[in-house]
Amino acid sequence: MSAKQASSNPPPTQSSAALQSSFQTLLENYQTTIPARVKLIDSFLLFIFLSGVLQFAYRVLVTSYPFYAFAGGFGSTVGQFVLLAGLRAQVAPGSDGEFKEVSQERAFADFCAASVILHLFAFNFLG
Amino acid sequence: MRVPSLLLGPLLALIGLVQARSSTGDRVLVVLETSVKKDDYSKFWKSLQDRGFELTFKEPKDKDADLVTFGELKYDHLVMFAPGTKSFSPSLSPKSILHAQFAGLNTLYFLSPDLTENNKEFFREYDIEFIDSSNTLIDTFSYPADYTPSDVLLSPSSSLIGNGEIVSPSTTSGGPIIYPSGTVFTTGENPYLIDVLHASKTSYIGQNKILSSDEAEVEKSVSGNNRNSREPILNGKKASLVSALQTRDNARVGFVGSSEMVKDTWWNKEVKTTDGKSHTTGNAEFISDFSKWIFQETGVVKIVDSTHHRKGESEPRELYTKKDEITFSLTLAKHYTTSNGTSAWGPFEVEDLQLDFTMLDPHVRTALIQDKSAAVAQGTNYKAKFIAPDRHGVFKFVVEYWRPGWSYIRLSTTASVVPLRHDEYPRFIVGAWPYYVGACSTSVTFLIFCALWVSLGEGDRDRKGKKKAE
Repeated sequence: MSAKQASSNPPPTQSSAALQSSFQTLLENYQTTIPARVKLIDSFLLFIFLSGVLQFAYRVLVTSYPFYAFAGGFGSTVGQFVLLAGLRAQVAPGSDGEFKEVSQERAFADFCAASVILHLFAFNFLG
Repeated sequence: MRVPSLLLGPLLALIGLVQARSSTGDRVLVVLETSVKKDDYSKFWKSLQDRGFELTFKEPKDKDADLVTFGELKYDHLVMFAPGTKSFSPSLSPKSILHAQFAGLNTLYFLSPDLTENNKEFFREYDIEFIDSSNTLIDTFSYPADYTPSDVLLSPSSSLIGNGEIVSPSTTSGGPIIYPSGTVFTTGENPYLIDVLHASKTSYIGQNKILSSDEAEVEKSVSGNNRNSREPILNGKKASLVSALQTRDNARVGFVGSSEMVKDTWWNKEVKTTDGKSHTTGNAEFISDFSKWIFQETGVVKIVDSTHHRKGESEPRELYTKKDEITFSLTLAKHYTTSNGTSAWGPFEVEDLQLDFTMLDPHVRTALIQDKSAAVAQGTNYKAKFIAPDRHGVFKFVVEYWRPGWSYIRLSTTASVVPLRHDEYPRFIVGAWPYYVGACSTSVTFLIFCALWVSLGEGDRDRKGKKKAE
């Protein structure tokens, strides 16, 4: 609630300064309200996203010669991203209403099992 | 026991020396009908014997003239000199001759205008159709002086086939060929037939007699009936006089429309043309060239050896992997006669040989190039290099060479093309390293993530637990 109030406070004459301050409050709020585990998930998500983008750019610009290797590498990033997003949806604050029966430990265990299977597939594809 | 065998050795060597120049054999059966006088053709028989052939003379009705005994050919070649014979003994019937030709018998038919109807019927098997009996080829513009127009004088350069194997170039440029009172035939669609000698443009077909003035009147009124004008004109290239046929098994058959061509009277005879010039006839050269071809002395090619291997190897494989570099090697040899009359095999050099790598359709069709560096005992070596197609299955190396005058060469060898085995695929490809790194980094980061998650959990649990409690 405090984040909303902070962003509406500055005068609308200097929009760039307003944008800057709103980003600052967003970051501050993120740092203060989001639990460490979710922050961990977010940083992992960012890393995987960048890795996937790089691999796809490489495939488009340079080569996709062993297509299976591309499918393995890119598939593992995409799959891991999806699994992480699922985990985040279950453990992030505010999702308690939706996933009442699922405890954090249960969600993490699911995520681990699915990831291990995903990686096995990915390495098989690498060839 | 040892002494006779010791004697036998030199004897066999002697026999080998006088052996015929034919690549298949030297036993010739000559079937002469009773009306033909053997001595009229003595120079022809002599020329065959000089070439090393053993002649056996029989009559069409002889019962013991078997061509094939116990599945083996009894004679290698047959000279059929019986155009006017109505019935043959069973061993020389058209059916048994065809049967023997399937087994490899080479046949030379001498024909004449009095060809019987059952003989004509038989020649339709070869897709050859004859003109009416008693008609002959006549050329009132070209015949030797002191002879009748039915003794047609043909210029070899315009009437002979330009094929160096069937008729040698010296014959094609040699003296005129006399075609005395011969019949004419047309050849059908049979692709195995080769026209060797055809009529000139000024010749026509008719009865060889000079009409009296009364008869000429009658003839005029008859031809006014439009009977003759509707008949197709048969002359020039359409009117075949001598033809040859070679089966896919390389059995050869020759048809000579005029048996008098080989008579002694025309053998190297001086003739005067109507314009007064004197020539030596080319009949002897022509018939010896033609009989050499029929009796498998010229135009004979055999496959000495064929092999294929992968690059860097020397032995043929049953299985080739796709995209292998395959080398196919073929050695061909041509039959020729040495100066002392023995048969030998020598180089066969052509430019238009090609190889098909076939599975239903040719996937690769490439030229076979002569390889002069190859060490072959006899013949000429040809090689083709190509990349195996990216297609799996049973393939055939096919070489087919079918040219008039040469033996029919067909070769087919099977080999399979298979995909890479599971352990033959390339690993750790340089271009794929970003993908390897991407996958590995995801896994490593996953492990780090799990470790951090668990370590972070201690502080977090309280809050979550609290929340739950609330």
